Amino acid sequence: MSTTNLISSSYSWGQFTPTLVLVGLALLILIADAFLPRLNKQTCPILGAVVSAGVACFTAGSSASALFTSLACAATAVCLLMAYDYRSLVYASVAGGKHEDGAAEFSALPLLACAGVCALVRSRDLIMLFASLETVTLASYAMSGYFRRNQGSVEAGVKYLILGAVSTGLLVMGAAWFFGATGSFTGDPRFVLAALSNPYLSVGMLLGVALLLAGIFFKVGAVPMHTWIPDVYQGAPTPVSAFLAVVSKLAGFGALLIILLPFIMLQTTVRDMVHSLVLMLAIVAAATLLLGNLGAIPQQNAKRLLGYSSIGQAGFILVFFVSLRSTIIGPVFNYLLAYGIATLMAFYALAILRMQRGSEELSVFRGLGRTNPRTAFMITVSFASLAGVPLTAGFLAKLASFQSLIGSMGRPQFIGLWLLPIMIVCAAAGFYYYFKALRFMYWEKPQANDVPVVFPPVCTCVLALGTLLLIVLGVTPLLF
Amino acid sequence: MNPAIQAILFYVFALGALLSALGVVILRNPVSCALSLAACLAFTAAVFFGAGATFLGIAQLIIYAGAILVLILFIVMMLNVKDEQPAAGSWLYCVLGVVIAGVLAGTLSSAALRLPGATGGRCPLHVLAEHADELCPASNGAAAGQAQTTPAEYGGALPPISMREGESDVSLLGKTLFTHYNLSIVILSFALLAGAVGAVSIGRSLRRD
Repeated sequence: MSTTNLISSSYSWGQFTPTLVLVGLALLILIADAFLPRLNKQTCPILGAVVSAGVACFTAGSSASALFTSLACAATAVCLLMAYDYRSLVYASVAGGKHEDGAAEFSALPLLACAGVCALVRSRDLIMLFASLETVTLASYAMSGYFRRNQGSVEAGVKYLILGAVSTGLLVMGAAWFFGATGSFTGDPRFVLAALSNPYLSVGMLLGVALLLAGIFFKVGAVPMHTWIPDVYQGAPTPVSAFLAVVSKLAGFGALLIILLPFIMLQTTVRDMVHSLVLMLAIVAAATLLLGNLGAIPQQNAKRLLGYSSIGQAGFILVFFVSLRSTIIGPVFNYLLAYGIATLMAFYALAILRMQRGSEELSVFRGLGRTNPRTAFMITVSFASLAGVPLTAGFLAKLASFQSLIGSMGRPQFIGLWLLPIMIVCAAAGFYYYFKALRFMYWEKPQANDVPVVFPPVCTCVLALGTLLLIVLGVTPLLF
Repeated sequence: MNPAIQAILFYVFALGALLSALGVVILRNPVSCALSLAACLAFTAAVFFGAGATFLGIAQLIIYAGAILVLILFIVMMLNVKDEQPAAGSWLYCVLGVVIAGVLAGTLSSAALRLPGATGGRCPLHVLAEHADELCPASNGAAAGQAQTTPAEYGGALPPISMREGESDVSLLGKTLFTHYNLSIVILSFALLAGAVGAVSIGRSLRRD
C-alpha cells in the first residue's frame, strides 16, 4: 500500500476541491480585510459570488453529489449578491453606519458554510458527515446573530445556537449508538444488515438511526424539530434567512439521503425494520406538512411566512423519502431546485423592499403591481411556483411528490394512502397564504406617499433569470 | 484484577457518575453544578479505565475535567452568575417534558437491556468482552458475507484492530486519526475556523459612534 493510499484510504483530496477552493477564498477575504485597510468592502461579496458561481459551473455533473454541490454554490452566490445589495444595512447594523469595519466576515461566513455543504454531500461516513455538518452549523449560528445592534438578530442567533446544540447532541448520540451496533461509522449496508439481524443489537441500531434522523430533522426543519425556523428566519438578516432556507435545507436533505441510503438498499432484506422506519418518516412528513402549511396561514410577517412555507415544502420533500426508492435522488433534487429558485427570489425582493420601505410585514408588497409592474410579475411567478401553480417548476415538483406516493402503492413498504388527503389539504392551504402577498401587490392601492421601489440592476437580473428558469422548467420537460 | 472487584468498582463508579449527573441538573447554584459535572466526568473516566480504555480515560480527565471545566468555572466567576430561578412554566410543559424524557429513557434502557450481560448479575464489562465477536459486525466477517448489495462507493470498514505486542492504544489511535480520518480532521478544522471567525466577529466590541 503506497503512502498516499494510506493517508486517505476512503476519500481523496480531489473530491474536496470545491470545499478547498471556497475555504481558500474565505481565508483570502479575511486576510485582505485584515491587512488592506483601504480595501473596498463591496468587493468581498462580489468576489465571493463570482467564485462560488464559477465553482457551481465547474462541479456541475450528473452524480448526486455534483448536483447538490452546484446547487449549493449557486444559491450561495445569490445570497452573496443579496448581501451586496443589502450592504448599507449591513454597515449600519454592524458598525453604526459610519464605517465598514466588520463587514467582510459577512461574506466569508457563507463561503465557509457552503464549503461545509460541498464536503457534506460527498461524505460516506458519519465522522465526515458530522465534521462538515458542524462547519455549516457553526457558520450559520454566527451569521444569524451577525447584526448585533438589532435585537431580533441577536435573539435569532442565541435561539439557533441553543436549539442547534441540542440537535447536534442528538446526532452525536445517534452516531455513538450506530457505531456501537455496527462497529463502523460507514453506512455500508453489509454492517447495517448484520446489526439489524442481530438479536442483541437490532433495537440499539434502530435507536441510533432514530437519533441520527432527529438530528437531521432539525436541519431540514421537520416537525418536531422545526420550532427554531420561524423565529430565526424572522430575526436573522434577510440574506442569511435566504441562505438558511435554501443551502442549509439542502445540506439537511443531502445528509438524510446519506443516512437512509443503506436502508434503501436493504428494503427487501429486512422488511419489518424498514417498514417501521418508513412509518416514522410518514408520520413526520404528515406532521410537517400540516404544521408548516396551516401555521403559515395567520402569518403577517413576510419572513415568518417564508419560514413556515419552508417547513411546509420540507414536508412535501419528505414524502419522497416515504417511498424509499433508489430513484428518489432525482426528484428530491428537482424539488429542491424549484423551491430554491423561488425562495431565493422571494427573499431577494423582500430584502430590497425592506431597505426601501423599512418593513418586513406582508403589507410591504402593497401596490407593487402599479408602481413596479415588471418586478411585480417576477415576484408573482416566484410565489406562484412556491404555491404550485401549473406552468411553473413548482407545480411539476409538487406533482412528482404526489406521484411518488401513489407510485409506491403495492410495494411492500407501502404505508397506505392516508397521507394523500393531508397533502391535498396542504397544497390548497399553500394557495391561500402565498396569494396573500399577491393580493397586496395587485388589489391594494399604493399609499399616497409611496414612490416606485428602485430595484438595483443585480436584483433585477437575478429575478429575471429566476423567473425564466421557473417558467422554462415548468413548461418544458427538461427535468421532470 | 479479580472479576468480582472489577464488577464492584464498575457499579460504584457508574452509580457515582449517575448521581453526579443528576446533581448537575438538580442543583441550583452554578458552581455546585460545575463541580458535580467535574465529579461526573471523573467517574466516567474511571469507568473507561476499568474497561481498559486507558487513553480515553486520561483524555477525558485532561480535556474535560482539566480544560473545559476550568473554562466553565471562569465564565461563572466572570459573569457572576446568580442561582438559577425555578422556571415558571405551566404544568402542561412539565407533563410533556416528563413524557418525552420517559419515552427516551425507556427506549434507551430497552436497547441497553437487550445487550448480553444486562441481566444475570455478572459484570457487564466481562460479558460484553466475551461477546465481542458477535457484537461487532464490521470486524466479524461471517455475518458480513450475507449482504446482497455491496456498493463500491462505500469506503469500507476500518481494518480490524489487532494490537501488536508493545503497541499502546495511543499509537493506534494516532494512526487511525492520521490515516483513515485524515481528511475528516481537515474538514473539522474548517468547522473550527468558521467558529473562530464567527466568535470574533460577534464578540468584538461595538464602537460608540
